Amino acid sequence: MQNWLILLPEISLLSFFPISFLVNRYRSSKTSKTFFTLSKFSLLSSIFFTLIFYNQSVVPDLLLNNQYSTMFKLLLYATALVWFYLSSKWFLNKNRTSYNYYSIAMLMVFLFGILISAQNLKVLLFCIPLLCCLTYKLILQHWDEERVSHVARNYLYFSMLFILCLYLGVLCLRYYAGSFSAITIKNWLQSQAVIAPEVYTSAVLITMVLLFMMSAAPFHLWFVDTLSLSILPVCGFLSIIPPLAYLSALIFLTNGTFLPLYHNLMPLLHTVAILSLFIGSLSTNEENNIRRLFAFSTIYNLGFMLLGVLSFKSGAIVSSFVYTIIYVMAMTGIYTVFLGLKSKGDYLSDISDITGMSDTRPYLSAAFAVFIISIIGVPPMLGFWGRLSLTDTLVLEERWLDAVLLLCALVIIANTFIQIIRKIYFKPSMIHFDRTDKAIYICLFVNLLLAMIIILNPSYMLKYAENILSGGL
Amino acid sequence: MILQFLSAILVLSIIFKLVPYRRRNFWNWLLLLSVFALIVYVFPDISVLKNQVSGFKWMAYPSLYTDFILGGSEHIISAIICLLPILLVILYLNAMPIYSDEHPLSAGCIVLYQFCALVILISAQNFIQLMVGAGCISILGFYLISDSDVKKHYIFYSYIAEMSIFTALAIVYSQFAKINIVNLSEYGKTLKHQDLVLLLILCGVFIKCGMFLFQNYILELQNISFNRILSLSLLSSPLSGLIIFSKLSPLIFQSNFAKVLILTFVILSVLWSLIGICWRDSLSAKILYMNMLFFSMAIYLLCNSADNIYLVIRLLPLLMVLDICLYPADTNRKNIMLSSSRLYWKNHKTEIFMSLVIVSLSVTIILSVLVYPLNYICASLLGIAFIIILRGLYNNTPSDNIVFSQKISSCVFPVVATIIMGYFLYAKPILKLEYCYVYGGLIILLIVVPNRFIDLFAHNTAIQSSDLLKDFYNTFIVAPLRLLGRIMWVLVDVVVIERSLIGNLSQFTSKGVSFLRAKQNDGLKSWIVFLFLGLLLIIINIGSFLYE
Amino acid sequence: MSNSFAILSLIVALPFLGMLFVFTAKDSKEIQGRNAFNVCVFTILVNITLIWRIFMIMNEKSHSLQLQETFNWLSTPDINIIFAIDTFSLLLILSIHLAVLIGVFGVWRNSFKQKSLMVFTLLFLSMSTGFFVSADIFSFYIFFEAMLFPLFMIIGMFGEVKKQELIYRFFLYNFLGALLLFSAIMLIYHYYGSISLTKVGNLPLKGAMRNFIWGIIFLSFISRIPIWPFHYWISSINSSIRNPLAFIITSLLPLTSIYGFIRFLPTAFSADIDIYLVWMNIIGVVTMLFISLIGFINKDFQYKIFSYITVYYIMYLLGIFSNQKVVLLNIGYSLFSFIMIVSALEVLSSYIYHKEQEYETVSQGFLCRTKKLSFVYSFLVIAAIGLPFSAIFVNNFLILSKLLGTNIHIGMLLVFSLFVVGISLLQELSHLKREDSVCKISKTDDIPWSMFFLMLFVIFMLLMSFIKPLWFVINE
Repeated sequence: MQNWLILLPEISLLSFFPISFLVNRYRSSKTSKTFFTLSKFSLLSSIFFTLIFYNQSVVPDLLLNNQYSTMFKLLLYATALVWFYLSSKWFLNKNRTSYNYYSIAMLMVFLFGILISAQNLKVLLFCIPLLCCLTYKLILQHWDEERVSHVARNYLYFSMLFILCLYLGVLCLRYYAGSFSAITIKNWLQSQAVIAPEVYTSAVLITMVLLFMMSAAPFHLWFVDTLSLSILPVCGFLSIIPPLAYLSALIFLTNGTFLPLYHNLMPLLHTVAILSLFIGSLSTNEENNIRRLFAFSTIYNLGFMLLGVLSFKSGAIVSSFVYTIIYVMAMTGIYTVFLGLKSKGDYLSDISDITGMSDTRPYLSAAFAVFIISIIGVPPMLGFWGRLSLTDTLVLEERWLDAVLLLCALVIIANTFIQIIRKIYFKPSMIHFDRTDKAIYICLFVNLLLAMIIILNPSYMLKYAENILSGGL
Repeated sequence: MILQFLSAILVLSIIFKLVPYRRRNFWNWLLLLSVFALIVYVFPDISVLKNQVSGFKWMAYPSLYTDFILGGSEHIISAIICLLPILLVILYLNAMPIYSDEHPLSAGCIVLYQFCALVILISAQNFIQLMVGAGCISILGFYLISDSDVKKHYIFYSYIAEMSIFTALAIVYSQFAKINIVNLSEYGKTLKHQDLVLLLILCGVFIKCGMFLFQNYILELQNISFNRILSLSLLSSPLSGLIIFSKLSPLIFQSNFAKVLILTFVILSVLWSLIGICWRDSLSAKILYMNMLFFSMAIYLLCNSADNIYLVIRLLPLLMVLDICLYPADTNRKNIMLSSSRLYWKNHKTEIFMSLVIVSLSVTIILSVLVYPLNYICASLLGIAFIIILRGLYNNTPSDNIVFSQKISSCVFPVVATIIMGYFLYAKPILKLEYCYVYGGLIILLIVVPNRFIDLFAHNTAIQSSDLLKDFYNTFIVAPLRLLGRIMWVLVDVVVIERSLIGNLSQFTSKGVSFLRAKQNDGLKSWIVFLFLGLLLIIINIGSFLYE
Repeated sequence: MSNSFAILSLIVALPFLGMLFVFTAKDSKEIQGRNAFNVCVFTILVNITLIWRIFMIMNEKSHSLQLQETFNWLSTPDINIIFAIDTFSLLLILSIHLAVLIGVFGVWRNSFKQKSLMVFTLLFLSMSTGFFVSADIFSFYIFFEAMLFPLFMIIGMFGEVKKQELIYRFFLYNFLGALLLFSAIMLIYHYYGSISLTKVGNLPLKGAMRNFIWGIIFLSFISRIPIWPFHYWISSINSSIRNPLAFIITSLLPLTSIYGFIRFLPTAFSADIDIYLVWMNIIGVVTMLFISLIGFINKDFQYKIFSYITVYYIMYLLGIFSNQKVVLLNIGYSLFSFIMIVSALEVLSSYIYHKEQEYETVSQGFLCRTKKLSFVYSFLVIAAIGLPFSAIFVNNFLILSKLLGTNIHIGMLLVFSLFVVGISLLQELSHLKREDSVCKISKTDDIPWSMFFLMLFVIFMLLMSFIKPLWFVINE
């Protein structure tokens, strides 16, 4: 009985599926808000139970709940809740059914939660293929499937390849180490005087799969192409929700399981980080599709975060965590603005569509500018704190070249964002925007208020996170 | 008392500046009477005034404490008193519709401000007060001029003068951190860059006095009304230049070249002014040249002794009288061309006689107050100048272009001046027989000099309107500066920075962006390319692991 | 001296709150930004009152930072935000407020996005106030970079700059400078922790690290002063801006650089750092010379004012490099008058320009028909060129004497540059005063009484500051 109680967070999440299935099938009057409401209750109860059972685990060898995982899960569920609420506005406006979307998304959130608590490679074997399939299904959530089918197809082929690599890697490690457990593998690796090439290759393959899931360069194109074509809820979901989970998984893998191989894996991660940084920042220039532009900016931010976390010391992890939170808040804000930008019922995706937006939508424009500036890291926006923390980490570790590269990439991407602001503010309005939902303004206001409170007193927020992150390692 | 006097004058001038334009004649007279009453109230007991010093702590800047001092010595008070008649006369001329002026009341108020600035300058015992006084005089002169072209040149030259003196004093301050003028002779001995300081001070002084090379802006005053010319000649820049010269003479004469340089300029200025007096057709220009002659000689006097400034100031009313004698009254023309506007001498015998009396008395005073042989030189030169102008003014035959008829009103001055000068000579009878040679010479000159000589270049526009020095400045100073500016702008900004540095950087970044765009927008091919790139990274990583 | 009331935070926060208020204020075609204008002016006036109050409670004779407020901001990295002021910084804050107030009055008839202009103006004011009250390296940096965004927005939206790419290059270039400072500050923090600004000049840095840190600090501050070869963007932008408030705000940017140099300059120069100063002196003088010459040949008055501003800023900079504390306060007093003169001149010249455009006429002879404008314009030009009507005169004397004492050649070149920019301004004045029958301006086109009284107030401030710099300080 006690074990079932401990599983209540997961059960709460899973309870969404049968209920929503039944509602979808048997209830005649249902809107997109219906499924959001269901997901909301599910998530809220999951948050509640996660807090209660924050350090209780049923199978600690597989899934370990502690302060560390609880913190990540809470943030994940809270972010998901916000995004689901905003997504419901899109479905309402488009008057489309949201059952598929919420089902897939909730399942992905559930899997992310499991990934965060993972202590065993079997969890990876279970979660990642499922996540790939769900991502594929999520990409296909478009009223015109033809538009996205080729991207979804490409993604499916590539993800199958990476899943194959994952299985190869994990099974190879199991063969050599004799266990799927992360701790066992780590101890085994530490005990080896010479690591076999197959073992190292397995570790690299597994890491590579995670990087693919994170959409790090050079495995980023699926993410970029997806975001340029998919519907807005899917774009926002893929940009905002996964980073927290993947950060946790990366820490688990590199700092936990593969710690003895860290010195060899580090150059790979370093190269990927630099590539992401520069491909992301350079590609944003002269990009006309605004969602594609922000997809590249996500890759840039990912590179930023990876560069900071590379040493996997507690300070680096804290700063990367801070940066990720700030990124999530900024992207939530940006996608909220996107949800407010529609003309003749269509959501806008071209940069030329938002030219002169400030004339007719001053509050949206202001919020958009604030979030963009936050991504660049200009003070006193929240992004500055992220930049400061990460740069401090680099300086502490005396990684001077990385610091210089980081700042160079920052200047490149600043150029793009300044162009966007220029278009919004310095040019006359070109099109007529539809009326924006008040909920959008409320969400933006809450986001900005939260950002302001955090930036005024960040040490208050960070105090607990620091202890948890340091202890969790 | 001095402070109160100046304050009262300032208040009066501010009040009268704000009165309505209508009934301005009434206001002009009221202003004159008010000032006169003030003078009578303040200056009756001169012996008390002579011992009074008004001073207070003025500026309290870090590292610089400046006192503001008015009065300070007997000489200063005497100098101020000597300037009062000039002030009253100018205000009188404003009140009387003698020389047409559009805004005589405004001019009168500015003259009062100028007088206050002069008092500040004369009383200056530190650099700051000196520069403030000189600067205020320049600024007020700018406001006094009614012609825009003349204003332009006036302020340009004045600015050069102020900057020169400012820089010179800054150099001195930088070495001694002192601003006292009184002790200048003590620390002036160890002054570095003496020649530079000399050049700067002399540049400023010569510009202010309108010496040779720098006289153009003073001569351009011929285009404004005569009462303003008087103010600007007698109570403005030239006098301030002389005062500055006298106060800074310990610095000037530290340099070995000072006397030579000054003498050269004085001689050139005297010669140039005599040439101008002879051959410039404009009456105002001739008078201005005569003033230039006076100030040139005054500079030389100051070379001998800085205290001669008080002597020069005492002679200023004399110069004023001479100027007024020469300029016809009751005219609405600002610039009289003598070749076509002479007075017929038979109709003006009284004026000519009065003028001769005046010039004789003036020459006598100069002969008696100055030392030999300076007295003869100065008196002769001034007398010659006056006679030539007088000769130019009056003709043997009537002119067709007479636009002024008589000078009855201005006879008041000669009469009053004659009485005053006569009393002066009577009080201090230093007459000598040799002075008769001078008088005789002047009368002979008046008779002998033909109008043909004076009108030699009257119709030569090249000489009358040419401005050789302006052309020189434009060709050799202004034009090269403009060219240099243009080169720097085009070469440095456009070619080096815009087209080379920025252009190249921008192109480089654009190429990188285009390359990436092309590689990422190719659908499945792009995916495969990047996948292979990823695989390559992995292979390299594994390879390096194996290598280790 | 510590401050229990957090008055410094208040003067930083007040414009920011005013900005929020303006942002949410109602605006329509009928109101056309009047509400925003009134709130902006009210906010600035309240802040000026508070600044005046601060003058009264602080000890203006003390050179140390006073009224300190400390806020614990971050624990990792360990950073405390410290606010404190001295007479110099408070003078600059006051001058900026007055300059912005003058600029705001210069645009009170503006109908194009008035609300946005007031929002960004107040944001800039808040950030720049924060910059001058910062007393530790991090808060200094935060506000140093934070003021870029409102500046960029003001220039871009209201500057009427024709070449748009100049604007974002301007931003990028300043942003790069800010990033350089960020690098230096992170390095300093790495070695010495979050230190206050008073200790920055005494850092015991050695060898290559010292050269590197001071080198990038120099570069970052130079990026904001139009010193060759970094002058190009600033000169292109400044000379193109037609909105007086935008121009004034842009002209305040080099002030941050000067202030930065004052705070960061090492107290004891070693031979390695001396080389930077020698180069700075050379480059500074060369820039002054050619900017002044370009201003001289350029007929556009905006460029003349820009060259005037540049030459004076570089002069102040060279004064700072003489490293004599006694000069610093003189620079502060001179800057106070300088900023007000520039602001007032810009507002008036903008007025003339708009009248020119309105009547499609020439500006020659403009001042002949407009007495009020003529009076204030002439006075301001005369004060600007250094004749004795403002504190610029005395303070320039002290600053120049120090520079002439240090190096006579550089001093004379400096004097020449000052002279040329003075002549440039006088050129414009005489052009406006030269009567021209073609000019369509009449007496009715004179400045309104409100603007005239504002200018009289400026003149009054200048005259009073000439006699006693802190005349408005009434000690309790």
